[in-house]
Amino acid sequence: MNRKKLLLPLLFIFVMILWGCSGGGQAASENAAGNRAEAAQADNSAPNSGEAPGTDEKAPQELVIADQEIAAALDPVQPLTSSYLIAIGAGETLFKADPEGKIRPVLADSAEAIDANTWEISLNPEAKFWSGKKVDAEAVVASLERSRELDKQVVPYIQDLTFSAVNASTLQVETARENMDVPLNLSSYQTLIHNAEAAYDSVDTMDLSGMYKVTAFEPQKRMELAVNENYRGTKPAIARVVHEQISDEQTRVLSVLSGASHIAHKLPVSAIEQLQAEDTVTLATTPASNTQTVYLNLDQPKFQDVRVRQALSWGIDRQELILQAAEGQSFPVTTWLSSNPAFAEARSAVYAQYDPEQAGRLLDEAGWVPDGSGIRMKNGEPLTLSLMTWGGDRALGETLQYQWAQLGIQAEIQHGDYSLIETARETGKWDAFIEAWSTFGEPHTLLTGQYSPEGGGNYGGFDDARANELLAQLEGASDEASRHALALEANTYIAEQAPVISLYPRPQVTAVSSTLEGFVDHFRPFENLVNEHLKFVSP
Amino acid sequence: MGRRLLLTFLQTLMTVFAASIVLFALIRLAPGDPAKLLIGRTMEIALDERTYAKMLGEMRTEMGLTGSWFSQYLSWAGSLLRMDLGTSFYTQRAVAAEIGERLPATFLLAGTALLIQVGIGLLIGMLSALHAGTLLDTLVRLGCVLLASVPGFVIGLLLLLALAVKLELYAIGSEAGLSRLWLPALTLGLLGAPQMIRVVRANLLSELGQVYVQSALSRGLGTRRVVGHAMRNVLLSTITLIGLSLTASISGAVVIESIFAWPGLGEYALNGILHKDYPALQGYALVTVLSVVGIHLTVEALYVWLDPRITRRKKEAAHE
Amino acid sequence: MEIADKRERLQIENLEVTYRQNDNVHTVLDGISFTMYEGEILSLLGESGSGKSTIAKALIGLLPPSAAIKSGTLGLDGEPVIFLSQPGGAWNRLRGRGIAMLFQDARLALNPVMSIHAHFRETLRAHRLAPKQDPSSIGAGWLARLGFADPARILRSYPHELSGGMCQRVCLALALCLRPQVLIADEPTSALDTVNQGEVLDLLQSLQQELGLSVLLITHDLNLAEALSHRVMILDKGRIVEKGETARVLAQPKHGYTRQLLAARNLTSLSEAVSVSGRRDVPLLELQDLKQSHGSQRRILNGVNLRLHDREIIGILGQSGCGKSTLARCIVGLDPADAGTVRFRGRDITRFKGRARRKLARHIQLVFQDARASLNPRRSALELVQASLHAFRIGSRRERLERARFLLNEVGIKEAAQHRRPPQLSTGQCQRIAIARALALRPEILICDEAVSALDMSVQAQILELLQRLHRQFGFSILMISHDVRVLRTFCHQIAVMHEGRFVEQLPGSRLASGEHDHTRLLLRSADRLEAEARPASARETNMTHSSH
Repeated sequence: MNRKKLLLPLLFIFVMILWGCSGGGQAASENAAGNRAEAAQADNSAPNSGEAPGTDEKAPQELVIADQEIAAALDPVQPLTSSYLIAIGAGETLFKADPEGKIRPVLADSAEAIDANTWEISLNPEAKFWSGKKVDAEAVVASLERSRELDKQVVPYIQDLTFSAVNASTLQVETARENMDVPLNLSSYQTLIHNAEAAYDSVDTMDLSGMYKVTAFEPQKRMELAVNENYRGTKPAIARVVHEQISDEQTRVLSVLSGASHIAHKLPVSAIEQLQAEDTVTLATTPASNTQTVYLNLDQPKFQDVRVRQALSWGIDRQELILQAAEGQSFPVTTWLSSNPAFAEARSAVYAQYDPEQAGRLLDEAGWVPDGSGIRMKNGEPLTLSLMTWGGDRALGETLQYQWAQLGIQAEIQHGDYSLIETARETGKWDAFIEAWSTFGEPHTLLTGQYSPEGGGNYGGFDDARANELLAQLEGASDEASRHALALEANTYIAEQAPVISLYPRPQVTAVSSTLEGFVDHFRPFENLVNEHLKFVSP
Repeated sequence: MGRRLLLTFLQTLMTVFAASIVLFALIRLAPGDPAKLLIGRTMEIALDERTYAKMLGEMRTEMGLTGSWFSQYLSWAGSLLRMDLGTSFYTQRAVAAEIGERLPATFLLAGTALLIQVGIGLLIGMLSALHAGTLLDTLVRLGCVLLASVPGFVIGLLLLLALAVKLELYAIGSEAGLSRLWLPALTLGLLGAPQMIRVVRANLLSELGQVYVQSALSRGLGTRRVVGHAMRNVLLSTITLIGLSLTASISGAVVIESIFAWPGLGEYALNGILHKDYPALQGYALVTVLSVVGIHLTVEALYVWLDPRITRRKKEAAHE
Repeated sequence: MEIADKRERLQIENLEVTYRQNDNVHTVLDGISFTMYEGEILSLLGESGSGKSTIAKALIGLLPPSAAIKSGTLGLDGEPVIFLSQPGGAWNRLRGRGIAMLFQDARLALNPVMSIHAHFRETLRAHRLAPKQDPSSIGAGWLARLGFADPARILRSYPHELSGGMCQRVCLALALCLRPQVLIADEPTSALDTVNQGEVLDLLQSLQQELGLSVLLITHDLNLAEALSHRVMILDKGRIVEKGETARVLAQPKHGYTRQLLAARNLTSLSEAVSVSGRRDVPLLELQDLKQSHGSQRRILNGVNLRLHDREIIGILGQSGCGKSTLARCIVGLDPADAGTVRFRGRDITRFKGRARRKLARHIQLVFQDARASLNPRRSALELVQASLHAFRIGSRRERLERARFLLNEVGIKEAAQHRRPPQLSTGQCQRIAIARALALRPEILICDEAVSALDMSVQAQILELLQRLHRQFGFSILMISHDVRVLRTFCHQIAVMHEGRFVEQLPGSRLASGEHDHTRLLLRSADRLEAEARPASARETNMTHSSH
């Protein structure tokens, strides 16, 4: 009766509450709509500018980057935040690796090793924070000390370093170990130089030095940036950048295809074929500086025989693996370190080609002989191998399984969550798993981490006298050339011993809109999305 | 009445309490160590063992993961009483604030999707029931089966491909704006529609077979009006389903929110799972439990309010 | 009163209706023709399945889609002839104002979520009878005419707040407020208890005369037809086998089927056949001061005392609402009693719960009024009986099947029907299955709650006979709950008369007529009323000389 007449007003109120709830969203959306309108305008003006050459500069445009994840906070000491800030041009480090893997100064001007334990770094005199404060030696020390105090992830890079300001433009670095490559360490994103006195709880107070300034930020949603007008170097052509979090990889693909974003980052390998067919986007599939590696448990008697391990490596057709599991977007790597561009010459240093005969011979010698059905047996036991994979590596595991089966090795694939591999490692009950660690950094640190008996990444328990000796020599090497030579030697020797099997670097798939020009492929794409030469063109 | 309210309140409290314990335990039972994850996996190999172990220990203390589960629960429950959901491991922000930012988006999406679902459900369900046995009815039922058997993310991606990429009617982004609402809402509404259509169809068919429908027809009431009578009873029986759908889209729209980059609770939960962010997950679970309980109570209250048979049962029968 | 002088109101010619079931087409009505006159009550008599309701539905256009009208015309006074076989919208003109209908169960005929006021409003608006005027004043007027003392309150009420009798009166008011020419009343009182029955029929009769309404009374109850109608038609297997003045047809039935119907009316007194033996000192079931109020102020059970011995049949007689069904539910624990005790073989079972209560269910079984509703429509008769055995883990699979077969045979469900599901069976057959299912567990007490009230009279007699035979054969005790004096009188050793939640009198079945309590007398009077009224009514009719049609 009467109360039923109340139903309609009540529904109305419910709808009103819904709108009310979305109040914030609504305002934001108007904002976004405005931005989109401008963007649309910009899009419209692009062909116009094509007709009238020379008007490119005056068209202010917005670059939208769709990423799997964006910063969760503004403070560079928060996990991963510094990498996102650098990727979109807001933050800078003292040094940076160029696409060839060479370390170039950014906020620094030059670096010089005074003796085995001391470096002197002179700073770029022009460098200023957004607030106008000079990036002088004291500010740099304060920034690095703040990171040391608050960011655990910076520890590996600066734990052996002591910083002091010699004068306003010169920084002195004392190293605990001899012959450390300080510029390399100070090129890691965790060492982002920020104004230690600023507060990082709002976009208005934060203070970095990059070419883009953060203008708006919604954690894990969207970060908006505009050109830093006081930037010391070439100012970027594109006025605004939006870094947008779109967690779903398929949606990122659709986003760049629809034109809603111009750069879509961390796309699945499976999308490569689809994207190649589209002429509205170009693909950047730089292999990263990491190596897909099969780690072998050397506690297992079958893997204690070096011939078995070598046979496993000879018996792999890496080209085929790349075709099957990486859509052809990588290159074979037979030694671990060579996915780092600085060690590119060692890519096929050991297992130069696919050689199943060699593999067969080695297995025969080791006593693993095929029985009637083609399975290799020794003492009545078949040669089996259980390979654990995770993430996107299922196809890789299955291709390996097939290739090893040709040799008479029975491989079984266990695909699951990474925590399963962690658990297996803790219990020691495992044969092999696939993992890819970064190969970019100080060769000695990297190789020790993987192959010295104490190395945290030496999962298989590799302990070889010759390898340990080479690593010790590498630590003591005093000049760059001998460091490089020793690193190569150790790397090759270890590959011959085959405690692990290197396959290929993981491709990083990034789609870039055809309207965007100047995108640079980089083996560390997660901190190199934006550069000052990016500009919009008519496709 | 006051006593009944109190009783309901206590029951609700017990439910939430029990659910919170279960959730707390389940979240911790999942494999993986949040402290290791937060420090970063690279650190395990970049640092020597001792430094790493020390760092891990510090991290655990900082994150409040050192005590027993029981003491962890007590401290969480304690801060809950102060309306504090804790601080996210990953973002270092207050979970309450983060959820507060995302709740409106989720409610907006869930509410709109519900309106679409109910609208489609009532309209198509009614059409299907009124033309039961005809080609139209068969097509509707076939459509329902098809729609119900395709996973939600496939429908979402197909709609995105068609409407955002091919027709350029929809902009993919990360905002929770009204202009971005319609497609996820439509998808969610479509996903829930088959169930609604089936319930409306079945209930309307059964209502149409009731004597009161024949009786109304025999008094010369038009078909449309009689269907209206029956629909009132059908609506009553769909309230539960509506409640369930709302519950599902508040707590479980994870996939749809992720596909449409809709910054709601579902996406928050997904990030929480990726980072093993216990406080975030606990906060999400608690909010979900609360809204589920709230919706169920509302549904019950609506029944009492709308169905005269329940409201008036207590009153004396009118004896002449 | 010369019917022949009256105008013809309704003419039905050669009505033929078929039903399609799977691929078979059955002819349900075959060449039905009849005429109704102004101000006449015409009874249509027949067993269920004879096609009575199909005639009613065909006349008002509410046949289900599976039915097809092959031929037939309908002529209503002042309206063009309608060819029933042609689909069309003629009904909207006729329904309500030309022909109105009263349904068997009035509670179901009202929309549960609409108030009575809303029913009137919608009905009147549909016919544009109350565009300006407040529908409630028209409604209230009609409700007052139908004997409601407080129409305003009734208008505010919802159907569930009214008793069955009140609902039927409301339905009557709803039908009459449109001033129809013809009223079809399909078993209008068979769902009511005797007191309400009398009331509704009185009102129907007086209003019919007042308004000059023609009533087609569809019933299986010969007494009712005899008491009310001027003429009767007897329907058997879709054909009218006999029609004529009521008194003449009932006094000198020409057709064999009519004679059969008349024979079923006179139930032989069964109570003499009941042998009482094996009484023991400890009663099988003993109720002491049982109270139950459903949480409300009004007590539904107000101190009930009863002793049921082995092999005894006790009837509980009472009007609807007196607490009979609540009593049954109290005994089996569906509605636990507030106070008092229920003893089974001396054991206090009042507060039994869970497993104990379940175990008890083996010994005390309940048979409900609406057997169809109590059976799972998706299971066959055989499965239903087996399921109850399975629930108590009795016997092996094979034994259960055999026992189910045996019992179904015993209750008269033969091999072919055993595999059918409730929707495919008649109400009587469903009640037989319900009994078989109850007996499968070899209970010591069988409680029959209005177990035969919804059945046709001839079926009623069959089920009572069946119960009696099974009682002799298996030796259980029966608590027979009914509002029907005739059922209990012939069947029970003892009859307890219930009124307002307590027993007002308890006497042997055969001596019920000598009951002294006021309420017992009232019940007896209402039950006898029809028979008592039948004489004056037929006397009135014998004076009428109209040519038989």
